[in-house]
Amino acid sequence: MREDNTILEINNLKTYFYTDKGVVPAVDDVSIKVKKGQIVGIVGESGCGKSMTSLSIMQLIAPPGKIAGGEIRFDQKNLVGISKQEMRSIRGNEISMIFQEPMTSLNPVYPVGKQVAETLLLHNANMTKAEAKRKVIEMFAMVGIPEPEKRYSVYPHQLSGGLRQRVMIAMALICRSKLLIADEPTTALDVTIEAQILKLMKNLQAEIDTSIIMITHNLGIVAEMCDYVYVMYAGKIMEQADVFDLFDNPKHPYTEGLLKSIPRRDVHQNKSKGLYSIEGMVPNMLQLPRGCRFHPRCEYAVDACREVEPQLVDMGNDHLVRCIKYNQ
Amino acid sequence: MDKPLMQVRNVKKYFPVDKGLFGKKTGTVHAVDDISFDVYEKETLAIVGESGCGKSTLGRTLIRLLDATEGTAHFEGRDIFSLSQNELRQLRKEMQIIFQDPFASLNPRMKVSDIIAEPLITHESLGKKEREDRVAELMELVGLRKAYGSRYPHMFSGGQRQRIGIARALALHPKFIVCDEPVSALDVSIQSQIINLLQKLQEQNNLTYLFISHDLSVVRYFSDRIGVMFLGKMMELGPTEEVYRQPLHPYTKFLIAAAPVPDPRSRNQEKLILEGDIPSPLRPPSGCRFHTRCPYVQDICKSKEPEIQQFDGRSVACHFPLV
Ligand SMILES: Nc1ncnc2c1ncn2[C@@H]1O[C@H](COP(=O)(O)OP(=O)(O)OP(=O)(O)O)[C@@H](O)[C@H]1O
Ligand SMILES: Nc1ncnc2c1ncn2[C@@H]1O[C@H](COP(=O)(O)OP(=O)(O)O)[C@@H](O)[C@H]1O
Ligand code: SF4
Ligand code: SF4
Ligand SMILES: [Mg+2]
Ligand SMILES: [Mg+2]
Repeated sequence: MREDNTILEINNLKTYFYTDKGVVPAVDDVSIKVKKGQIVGIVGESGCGKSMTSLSIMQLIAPPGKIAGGEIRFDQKNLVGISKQEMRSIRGNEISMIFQEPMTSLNPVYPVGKQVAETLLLHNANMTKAEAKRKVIEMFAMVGIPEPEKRYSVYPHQLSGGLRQRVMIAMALICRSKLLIADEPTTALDVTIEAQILKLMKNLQAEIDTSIIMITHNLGIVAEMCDYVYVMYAGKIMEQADVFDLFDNPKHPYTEGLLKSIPRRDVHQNKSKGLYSIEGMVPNMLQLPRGCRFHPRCEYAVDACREVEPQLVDMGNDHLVRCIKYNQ
Repeated sequence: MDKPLMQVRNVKKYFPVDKGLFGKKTGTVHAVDDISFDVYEKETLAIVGESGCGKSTLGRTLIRLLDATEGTAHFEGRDIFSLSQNELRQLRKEMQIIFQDPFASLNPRMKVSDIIAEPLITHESLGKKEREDRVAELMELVGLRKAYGSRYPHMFSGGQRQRIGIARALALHPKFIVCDEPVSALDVSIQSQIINLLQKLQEQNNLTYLFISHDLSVVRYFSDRIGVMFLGKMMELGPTEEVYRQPLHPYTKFLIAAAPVPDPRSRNQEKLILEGDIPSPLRPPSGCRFHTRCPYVQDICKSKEPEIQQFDGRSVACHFPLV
């Protein structure tokens, strides 16, 4: 029953790490859908499985990690188990990715322009070098890199963090990818630079109509950027909804707690009551609590929560929640 | 918030930069450049600004983890910068620091109880039993289970490590604590726990905080007053609520507006966005250091550094404050 405008459909993905100490279910039966032109958010605390989800899509999970189940359908094709060669032609071409720290994904001894041109040449056998260079400079200008001709031949360390991230975005977009995965793309940046990069991503998205998966721990960024949101906790999707619906009407106790516990720059909050906080901490992925994995921290927990793992329940309006309170 | 606990006057901290081939001095970073303010007893004074603007350098200089290049800082009447090593040892009890990265700041080879006891050993002559009692008391105060005392830092989560750092900072009953991005490295759900803990400890122990942060949302909630730094300069300083309601400095206005708001309904408001990059601190712009990014820049801004103007209880360094 897939609608034609679905570009990515992840079904029951399980990405597990088989360590000496046991199995880490980093991504535990996750299903995610991305439609054409949509910005889909995946939000959650560190270690909840956001990056492993994106690396699974890119088929970049390394041992002891392994995709243990499920499928990742991109443009109808299941990426799980396809040949390395086939994946290489998709990666950087049809699906691109930007990371939190651009320095780690840029080669320090190559001029940045050349690196972007290489991506382009790799996927376009007939293109000449001069043509590639021209396109890169055009793209640099488009992502707001000042003096793009000059910047073509500088090395990564000669650029500020914000400019490096722009180079990464240029690299990701130069092949007009259908899907862009942005894993905490602004976490390492200053707030005024973050605002520039987010605006740039939004404008480019509208302009070239790519789909974006926006991975972040920042609910402000989710509110500002995303159309549809998945809330992840300890490897599982706890809630998913349209962004307005999620913020207006959070249903899962974890989502509700997160939203209540963040201070806001636009609202005066009385300090005398203290900030709301979710007690405790995220569970050890090697010893997940029985039943609902959020139960040790949940103020609504009842006995049944400690026994059975709740299923995702459809509340209508594409709003799904994994909590016993809604199991009728 | 009544009388000044600390009076900071014209403090400068310069770092020589020698990146040249032959170790020659190639420049100077004016990390903190002529900053003056008071810190009042029991208040939380937030220092905000983007990376490299000098927040940590200011905090460290004030408690003499770094030596100031110029200026004075009077703490309860004594100038911290001119104290002898011996006097400084006494002062260390009263001034402490909590760091951003709770992992890097804890010795991985020491047990938690020894980490917390360390300042007690160097500064107080307590018996073994008294010391153990004090450590147990501190652990309880910050919400760490007693049994954790015999474990090593790597066995703890970020939030718990931050609690260990806080317990250690409190060991000697300080009056003044520099909190250098104490919650920046923590997850959202843990941040609010630590903020509440810092607030509780402040109320119980009459602490004064210099709260360094780049999170404009946390600062609005947590601080009484706020100082906004840009490239070594204090651009604006005033009561937090007033500054948020009506910023006087253009940089303050844009800095606050840049922080994303967790409400999708505000996404349609045309967002104020600063263009350009943060200038290099090695070659700060002439005149007003913000002029290369300021949307309100006039000719005079490029040549003349603005003086600090006072507006009852608030100060701003701009030729054309937003009044
Ligand atoms: N030991 C040092 N030697 C040379 N330069 C230094 C030294 N320490 C700091 N600086 C420089 O001084 C300036 C201010 O640094 P500081 O660490 O105080 O900034 P900050 O505001 O705390 O930044 P962040 O938000 O990244 O923590 C920066 O340009 C920095 O590179
Ligand atoms: N190489 C590995 N070996 C074992 N566990 C791993 C490995 N890489 C990641 N994990 C685990 O997978 C889980 C999800 O990690 P990740 O996707 O990086 O989280 P996030 O991006 O949400 O912060 C974490 O519990 C992490 O410890
Ligand atoms: S299932 Fe129970 S423990 Fe889990 S979130 Fe719902 S109420 Fe809380
Ligand atoms: S002095 Fe001029 S450039 Fe500086 S902030 Fe004020 S208006 Fe802008
Ligand atoms: Mg990650
Ligand atoms: Mg700092």
